[in-house]
Amino acid sequence: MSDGEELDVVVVGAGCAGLACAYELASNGLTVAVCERGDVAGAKNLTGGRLYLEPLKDLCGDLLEGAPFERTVVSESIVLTHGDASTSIRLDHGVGEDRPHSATVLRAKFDQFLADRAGEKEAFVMGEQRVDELIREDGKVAGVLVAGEEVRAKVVVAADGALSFLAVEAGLRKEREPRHFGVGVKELIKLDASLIEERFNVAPRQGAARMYMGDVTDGLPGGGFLYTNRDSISIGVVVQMDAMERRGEEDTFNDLISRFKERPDVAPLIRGGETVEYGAHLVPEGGFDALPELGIPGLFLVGDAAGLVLNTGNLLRGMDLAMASGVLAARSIIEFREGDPGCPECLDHYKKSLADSFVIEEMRLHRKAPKILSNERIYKVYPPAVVDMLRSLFEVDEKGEGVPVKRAVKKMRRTVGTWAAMRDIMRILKL
Amino acid sequence: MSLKIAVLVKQVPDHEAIVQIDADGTLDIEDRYVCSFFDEIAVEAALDIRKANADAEILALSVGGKRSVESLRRAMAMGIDQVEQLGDDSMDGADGLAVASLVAARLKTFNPDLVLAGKQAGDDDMGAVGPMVSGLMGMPLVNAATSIDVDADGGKVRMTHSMNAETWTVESGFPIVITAQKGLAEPHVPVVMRVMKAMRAKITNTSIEDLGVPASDSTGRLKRLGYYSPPTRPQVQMVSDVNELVAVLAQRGVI
Amino acid sequence: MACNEIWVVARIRDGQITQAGLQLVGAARELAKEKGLDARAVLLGCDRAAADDLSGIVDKVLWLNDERLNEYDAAVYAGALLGLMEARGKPVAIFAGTNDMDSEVIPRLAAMCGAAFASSCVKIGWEGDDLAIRRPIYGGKVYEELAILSRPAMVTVRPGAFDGAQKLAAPGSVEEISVEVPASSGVTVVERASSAQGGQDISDARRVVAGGRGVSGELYRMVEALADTLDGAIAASRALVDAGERPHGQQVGKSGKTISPDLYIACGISGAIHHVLGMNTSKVVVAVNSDPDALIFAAADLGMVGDAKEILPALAEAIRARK
Ligand SMILES: Cc1cc2nc3c(=O)[nH]c(=O)nc-3n(C[C@H](O)[C@H](O)[C@H](O)COP(=O)(O)OP(=O)(O)OC[C@H]3O[C@@H](n4cnc5c(N)ncnc54)[C@H](O)[C@@H]3O)c2cc1C
Ligand SMILES: Cc1cc2nc3c(=O)[nH]c(=O)nc-3n(C[C@H](O)[C@H](O)[C@H](O)COP(=O)(O)OP(=O)(O)OC[C@H]3O[C@@H](n4cnc5c(N)ncnc54)[C@H](O)[C@@H]3O)c2cc1C
Ligand SMILES: Nc1ncnc2c1ncn2[C@@H]1O[C@H](COP(=O)(O)O)[C@@H](O)[C@H]1O
Repeated sequence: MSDGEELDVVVVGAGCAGLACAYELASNGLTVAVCERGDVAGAKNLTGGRLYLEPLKDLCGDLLEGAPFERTVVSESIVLTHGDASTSIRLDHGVGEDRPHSATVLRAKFDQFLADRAGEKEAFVMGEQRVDELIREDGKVAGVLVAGEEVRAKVVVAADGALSFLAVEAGLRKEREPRHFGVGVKELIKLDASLIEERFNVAPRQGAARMYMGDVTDGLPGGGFLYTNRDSISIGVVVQMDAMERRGEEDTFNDLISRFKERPDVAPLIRGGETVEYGAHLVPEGGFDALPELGIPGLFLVGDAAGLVLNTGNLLRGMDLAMASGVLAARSIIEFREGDPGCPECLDHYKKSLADSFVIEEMRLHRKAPKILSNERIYKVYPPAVVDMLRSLFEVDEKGEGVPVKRAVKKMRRTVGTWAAMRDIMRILKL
Repeated sequence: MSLKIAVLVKQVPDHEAIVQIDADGTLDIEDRYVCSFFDEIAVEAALDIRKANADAEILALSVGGKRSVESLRRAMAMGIDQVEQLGDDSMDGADGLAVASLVAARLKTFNPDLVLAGKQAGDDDMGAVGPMVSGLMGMPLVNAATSIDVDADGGKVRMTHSMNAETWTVESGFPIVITAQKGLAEPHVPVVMRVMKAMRAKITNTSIEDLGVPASDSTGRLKRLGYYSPPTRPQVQMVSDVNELVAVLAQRGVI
Repeated sequence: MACNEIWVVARIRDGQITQAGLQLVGAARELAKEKGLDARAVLLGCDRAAADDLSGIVDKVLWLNDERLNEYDAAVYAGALLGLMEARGKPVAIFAGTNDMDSEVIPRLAAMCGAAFASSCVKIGWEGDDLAIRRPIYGGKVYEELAILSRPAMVTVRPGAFDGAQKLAAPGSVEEISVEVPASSGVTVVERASSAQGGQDISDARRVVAGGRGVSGELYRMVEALADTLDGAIAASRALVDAGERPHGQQVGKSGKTISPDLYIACGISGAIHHVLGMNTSKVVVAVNSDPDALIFAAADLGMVGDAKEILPALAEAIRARK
């Protein structure tokens, strides 16, 4: 391209939202630049690790061809923890490689793959380029400033993640509202592939996902997760930010993670592994009711920047929503390519197609989740109650007596309080 | 007079990239490549010289295959307009002399006043190519320069570099080979528009035959026998008292 | 034409052969003996006393007694060595130190005679009739071992890789040789500024006290004082050099110097790999750091957790008390 030629689109942020968007745009012949503040795509990005593939089949099927998935998830568990004990529900699906339903990913590799794919389509993906201002002209966004340099484009796509500085600058969101965020920390533990397969009882290239609830978060709303990668394990916790700030202890995360790793039901899984990465990141958890306006003319929000994350307690989905929203934004821009994609109608087109897609539909469906999940009883009362009940079922005391099922259940009812529990359970079931 | 500057650049694993030895004894290098640390300094130094000598002509060269092209794009994004790839991927992993031979062959027709290279490349850390180019071309050499001051009209260049415990300020005429040490220049992050231009640019390639160099077979000079893990020190002994420390040091015979 | 010799390019500093030079001669003698070769020290410049000194540790000193070699010039030195090769035949190997001068001279010479070159060797042995060397690559993350098939095998060796040569029972001889010495390359020295206070070159000091960001500003005085007590040299991490507090010539690490003293005391240095690479062949490493989890402790033999402000003066005092 020659100097001074205007770009069609500047995408800010080379995460999965921005790169999916850029790929779609470039595949359709638009000139698109992706500005990423990290050295390379994915350098600073963090996720738990599981990408749900089904929803992306139509939108990103081509892009994900040959993607570096770590393992296909075939074994799922929900684990309730209480002290040294835990109880879990496990599902082993018979899904194989031919019909993967979700797969684990490592962002450094995965994002680099997406960046390479976008690059093949001649999108310009550039690291070390931090966007620090929007250029506005005639009532719409006309580009961005990168280290003082003007980069003009017909449209700017804000894919700059949970704290989206562009969304804030555009007046679409307040700077930082703790009640709308979760804080996640994650460690990556290197471990031989064969050990992983042995310990999780999975075949090569197949993997396990485990969600933990209970005292892994020390009573704070949130949960723990553990995913298997090819030759490493992702382990971490996500906790609601305002609860965390109310608690106000330093080092809470360090403590949480190290106690999580020392749990007798976790330690043997990661034994002999070496921590090779450690990171913390925000997760938008405000849900449907906290969604911002999705843009202003000339500026489209996608992915975490738009708050598109779904947390239902047993599922945490952000990447598929991010990629889907990126592609939908791209498609709206493509739709208006002959005219002015910076016009309000183009933005409306995007809002509508997002509203019609699974992204907003799922978020609306689970709109109560954030409120329900902030109920501390879920983490403080029920896991111990269930664990204790089960324990009493399996124990025989010195007098040689076991506990009849009826009495165990009764005891549990006493500890959890029937009415509140019924209400909570009904709510959780509605999620 | 209009200065002619040649800069040598090489693409190497990022200094944070994981490099480890696989079970079969080969190296497993994380796929994160960048223009070598000292080479970016050399590029910036060339650009600095051009700031004071607007008509200076700069040519960046890289020897090797696809990765070489990436380092040249980086040089271009930083502000160098003329770049050239020498040879092909048969040169990846070649020894310093093989690389220097191609460079020297190309430079015979370019006729540079200054040749800038990195002090050492971030992969083999050898520090061979710069001095070897000087040897092949019979040009004077200043290694690991921390400053360069060009007086183009006077046909002179003044440099500083560390020599044993001293800092030497030296002066030379043209042509000369200079290798870059940290401190010589501060590489800047290229601006978006230039990065895009460089990403699209067509990179000229000159083949080994066109350079008229017999395909140099460095396997006749160096043979890799294997890779080894860095030596480790025994577990550190923690002491809480200076007298105890002094006693151990004395016992080890180092004080 | 070839000769059955291993040459050591010996550097004389302040009238004495350097520590590194002693080690090179030691290595050359050992390796030569294994293959029935002769070890030779090559001395450039007119310094009779140095030549005699050298003959105490090596059978024969090849003395290029020529005025034009009194001042260092990379091209002239390389040219003179090439001249020696023409006069005497190509040796099997040429050893030099990994120092500022030989890092210019030896690779330049290698190119002039179409030979391979390997720098920063930490180990040298034989692989059949070829020299096999080990050296760090990728910033020290791994080491490679190479056989050098071309002749002469030219290497620079990291100080500390070998023990110094013992004195010979009967001193060797000095052979004065005159060779073609090329004209100056035209690089003239305008100024030589001593960068190390106290004048000691860290590359050749037996004891080095290094300071990092943890002892910046006034605190660095204590590093100087401790070095003084130890009769050692002072060095710094890149943090202090970048901040302009210390000269570049004192920087230890990947983008500074690689040193191997007998004793290295790291004060207020976190122990980044880039730094460690410059000192990890030191014989004994002591780390003083207020952070018990600092990486430097993994690279140290002895560690003390605490404030350098208190530890360094106390340590200096304890050493003085012992003397
Ligand atoms: C601990 C944790 C576990 C999670 N687990 C899962 C899971 O298992 N499954 C799932 O689907 N989701 C999960 N998520 C959510 C998911 O990771 C995110 O929703 C997803 O990464 C969002 O992608 P994105 O592209 O919108 O944002 P990001 O991946 O955050 O990318 C934003 C990019 O923008 C760049 N950027 C920011 N500001 C600027 C600027 N000014 N200029 C230039 N570039 C800028 C950043 O460097 C970054 O590269 C998890 C999140 C966390 C934190
Ligand atoms: C390509 C490249 C090349 C590099 N080359 C080099 C190189 O050649 N040499 C080099 O050194 N670095 C080099 N670096 C930089 C290196 O990565 C580190 O950033 C640097 O070494 C840090 O210096 P430091 O340890 O002094 O400072 P910091 O990392 O800031 O550490 C200071 C330490 O002092 C301790 N401390 C603070 N106060 C006290 C006190 N009162 N008493 C005791 N301890 C205290 C702290 O606990 C801390 O551990 C290079 C980096 C790159 C990317
Ligand atoms: N393949 C190459 N192409 C271009 N320049 C090179 C190449 N290899 C080395 N150089 C240059 O020579 C310097 C020293 O490299 P080395 O001798 O490999 O340590 C590097 O910093 C580069 O400037």
